[in-house]
Amino acid sequence: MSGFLGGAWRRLAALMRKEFVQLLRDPRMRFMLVVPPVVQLFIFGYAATFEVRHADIAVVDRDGGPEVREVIAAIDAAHHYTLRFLGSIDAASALMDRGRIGVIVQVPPRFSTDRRIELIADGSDPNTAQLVQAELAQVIATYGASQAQYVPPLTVEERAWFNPNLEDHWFFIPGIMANVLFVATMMLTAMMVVREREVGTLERLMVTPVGRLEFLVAKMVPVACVGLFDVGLIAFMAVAWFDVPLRGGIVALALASLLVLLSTQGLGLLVSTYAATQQQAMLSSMFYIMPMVVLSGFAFPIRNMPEAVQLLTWVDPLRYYLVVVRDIFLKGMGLGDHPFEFAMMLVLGCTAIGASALRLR
Amino acid sequence: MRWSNVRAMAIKESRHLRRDARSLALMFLMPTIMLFLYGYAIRLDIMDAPIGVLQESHDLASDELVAQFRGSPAFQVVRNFADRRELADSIEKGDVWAAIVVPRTFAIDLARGAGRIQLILDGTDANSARLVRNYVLALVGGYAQTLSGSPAYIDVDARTWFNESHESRYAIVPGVIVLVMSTIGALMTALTIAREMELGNLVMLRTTPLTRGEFLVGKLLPYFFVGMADVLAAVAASVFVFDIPLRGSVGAIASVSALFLLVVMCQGALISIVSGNQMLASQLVQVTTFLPSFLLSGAIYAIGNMPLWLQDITLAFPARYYVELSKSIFLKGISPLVLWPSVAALCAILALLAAILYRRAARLGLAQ
Repeated sequence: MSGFLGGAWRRLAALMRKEFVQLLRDPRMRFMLVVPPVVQLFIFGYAATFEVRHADIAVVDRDGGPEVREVIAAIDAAHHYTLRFLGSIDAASALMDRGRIGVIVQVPPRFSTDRRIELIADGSDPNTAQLVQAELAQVIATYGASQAQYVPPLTVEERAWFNPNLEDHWFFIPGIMANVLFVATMMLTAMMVVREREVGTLERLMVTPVGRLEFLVAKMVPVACVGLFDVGLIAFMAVAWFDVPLRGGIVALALASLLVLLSTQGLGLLVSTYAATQQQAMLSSMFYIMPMVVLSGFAFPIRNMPEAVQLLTWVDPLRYYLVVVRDIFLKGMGLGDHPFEFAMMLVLGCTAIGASALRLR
Repeated sequence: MRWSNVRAMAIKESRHLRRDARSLALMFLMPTIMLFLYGYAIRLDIMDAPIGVLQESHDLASDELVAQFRGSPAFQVVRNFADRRELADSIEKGDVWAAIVVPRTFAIDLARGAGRIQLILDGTDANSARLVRNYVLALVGGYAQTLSGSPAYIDVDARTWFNESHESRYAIVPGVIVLVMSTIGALMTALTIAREMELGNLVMLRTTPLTRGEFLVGKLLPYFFVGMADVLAAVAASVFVFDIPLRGSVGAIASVSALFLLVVMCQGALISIVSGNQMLASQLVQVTTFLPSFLLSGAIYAIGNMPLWLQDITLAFPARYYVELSKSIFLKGISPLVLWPSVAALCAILALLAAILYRRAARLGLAQ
């Protein structure tokens, strides 16, 4: 018995070594396992923002009175706007057509009697349009209040918990972690298995005493290591470079990552059971990855989705992973705070692996 | 370049495609699914944001203020907290996005003209928090105005061109077409050449009179047609399923799409030749094509909001120009000729990529 187990262990170790070598032999592949997560982190960290830091605004002043100039000066002083003064609405609209300006501030003639200002925003970017309009309206209202000596009888004192400056990347970085982990591990698992089939080495393995389980474990462990390495790398960069607070425990983070790996690798295996070529494996992986990433709520809140789509998110392991990771980072939660999410990841992971084990016969 | 050779190569490749029914099905299914997901699942604005209220006194003034929040379509008051602890718990668990605290002395303060309420936001999702804050400020500001009975000193008349109702999908769907094309165009072509190299078919091709130019054109031609079919299907779905107005012409969007498709296909082929194996090619495509077209193109995140150095980097990515063109043609109905700098940029990138591709293809060792 011990001899049998010892043999199994030796085979597993040998196979695993082969997989590690195969995965890491090509220097370009080593490069690909480290650099893309970092690049993704940087691009996401800086590019993925809905915050409007700067806007180009056209001013069409058809009144020309001194009071208008004061309003415009108030807007100019507000902060991050670049103003362009134009003679006519046509000139402004031509610039908006070309995407050079986001908002037009038009002051109709007879401002001193009508006191009306038009804010026209470019709706092809509705998020920016809404935010800039709201900000401008606020600036104009503040100016108006000071002119009319109006003190609002009611004010709001606001405070944001967990992310006092409302930094977008605090929200996105846990999402990148999930994204990188999912894409890398699922696709690698699927392609590593399919490659053996496509290149024909699977048949050679069949004549060796290697069992199905050993084969799968040997494939999964190296990829899981790569995945965990990427998680660690991103967590480190997030804290060291982007100053994202890691308020919770690393153990909880590692456990959550291990649990979600069950699902991503299970899905990778599932794909490998019916893909005959790496091309198919790649396409099928994308087929799972894209909806799962979108539905996980990594950038768009699940609550804003239509009800039917919200139901779909229940079977998305990434959804649970994201909740856990965000709460670990920002809210400082630990192992005990998310029994439901951990359980769901376990269930979905076991389902995916079970289904692929059944199919692999 | 002999046309008969190109044709033979193209026929071989389309047979490959036709016989691989699964890949072909995926190539048509994936864009559809992507469009539906992005078109339906994503809303950038908020409706019915879940909020909670902690009302410390139940006098008339507090009740009236809270009624404002209950009546607003932007919010849904899902919790009434009994105390601060409950409020903190609820925000921590993520049950509500924000909490409004109406203090005990609210009515007295308001009568003195110094009413104050507290807004506590869950900052985890910074963007949703910002939107909620803006809605709350606007609502409270408007309410304060009616209370004081003094009309606003300046009337602000806010309008939105090209997208009156602020529909997120108007802006997102034309942009998402770029994702469809990057995936199909670059991914498919990247794998197809790497596959020939990996399986050793290339050695056989070396014994034929096929030159590298003929090989590349023949190889890419079938994928070009599949890609164009995908794009046109995506455009049709945008118009007929998602009611996105196509204010420009079909010819304009088709020709711009064809140009962009060629660019991504060259990108894919180049990655293929440089990497030489499918696994590496697939990872490279992810990083150089898919991610930039998602993040750096302006499809979802406005380029204008990025730091300046990153804005400059986006200039190197073709997806950026395509998104700009696609949005303008769809929503603004302007001709690509007006946006000639973007078209010129795409042409320049195409020429550059094609030249590099042709040079690099020498390593395939095909006939001269």
